[in-house]
Amino acid sequence: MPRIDTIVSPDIVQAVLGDMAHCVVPVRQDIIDAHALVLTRLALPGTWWTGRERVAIAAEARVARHCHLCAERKAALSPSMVTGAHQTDAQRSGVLPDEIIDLVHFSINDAPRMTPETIASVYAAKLTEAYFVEALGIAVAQRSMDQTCFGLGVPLHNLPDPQPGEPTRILPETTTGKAFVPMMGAGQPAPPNDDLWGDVTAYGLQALSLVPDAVRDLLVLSGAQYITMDKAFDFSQGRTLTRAQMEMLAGRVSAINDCFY
Amino acid sequence: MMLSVSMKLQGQEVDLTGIIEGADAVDDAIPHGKLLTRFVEALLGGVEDEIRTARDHLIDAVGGDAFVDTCGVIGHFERMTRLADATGIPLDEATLAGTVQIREDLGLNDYAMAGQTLK
Repeated sequence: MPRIDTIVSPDIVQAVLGDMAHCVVPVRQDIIDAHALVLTRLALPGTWWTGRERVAIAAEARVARHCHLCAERKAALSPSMVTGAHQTDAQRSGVLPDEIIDLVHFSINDAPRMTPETIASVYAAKLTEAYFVEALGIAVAQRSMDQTCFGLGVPLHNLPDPQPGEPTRILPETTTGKAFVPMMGAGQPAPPNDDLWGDVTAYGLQALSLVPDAVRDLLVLSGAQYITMDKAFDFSQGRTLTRAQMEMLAGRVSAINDCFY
Repeated sequence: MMLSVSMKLQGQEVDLTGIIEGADAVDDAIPHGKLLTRFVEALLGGVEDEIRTARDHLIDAVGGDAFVDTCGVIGHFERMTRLADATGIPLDEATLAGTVQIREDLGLNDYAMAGQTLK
């Protein structure tokens, strides 16, 4: 497990428990705990974004589901052929730069057509790729929890109240050239990030490693919703579902999302 | 590829066509494969009545614990697909080497991100 010293908010635990109680069958405690931990961490200052901004990013990931501009853009031969304004979260208007709102919507609704040039729009907002990576990590975590709740037939979790404080702005050592964003190398990272992975890793983990805490959040959620990293490469390991059933679900989700990976 | 590997560990081969073509084409070698796939399709389609129907059928067939697993796994890969595409990560070397025939058979090399992912 990743090293995480966050104390989970009791109020958030109770709220998540209340949501999951709507399910017609019992929901595993580790899923409830993981959602509560990730929501608690969402509200805290991150590496590059404040708690208020992080919650606003999660809200955008949720609003993007119904964005008309995104739907038009996805239907177009090229996304750049369609211009206009996204449907955004009115409660948090002005919290995020337009460029980040666009990247969050793009990541949620049309990720297969993203390019390095798409991500380079962060420079227009005087930001760096690290801001994008943290925002992406938040957006896809929110998407993951929301889709799980939709599947379970339970209410979406309320977004947490942002907590005060400043981002840490700590940049790890990374290399460029393998992906659209810089990533840590494949070997076990040096302390304090040696908890992220050991000798064996995968690009799916390295993808967020420009922001190590985003990898930690990914590990928390994936360990509960899919499988823990120590079992990930052992294909005899499953849950109540067999591993073959789990991988078939994975393949079908990927195909519907036009994801080659 | 991971589906193929996990089936081979059980001493079985699997036809992967259903991954691309949908529930009706899912190989019967995967227990409840068609129902699981119908639930994925309903959930990602977002139509509440269809989700409810698919959910009820799935719970009746596989039970509550496996249904909860299903929701978690779908949620996880809703995340990972977007993460992979938005960051442009390549396929891991082992996956790349092990999927030459599968990618060819299923037409995956025609996907929008294939050029980046195969780098």
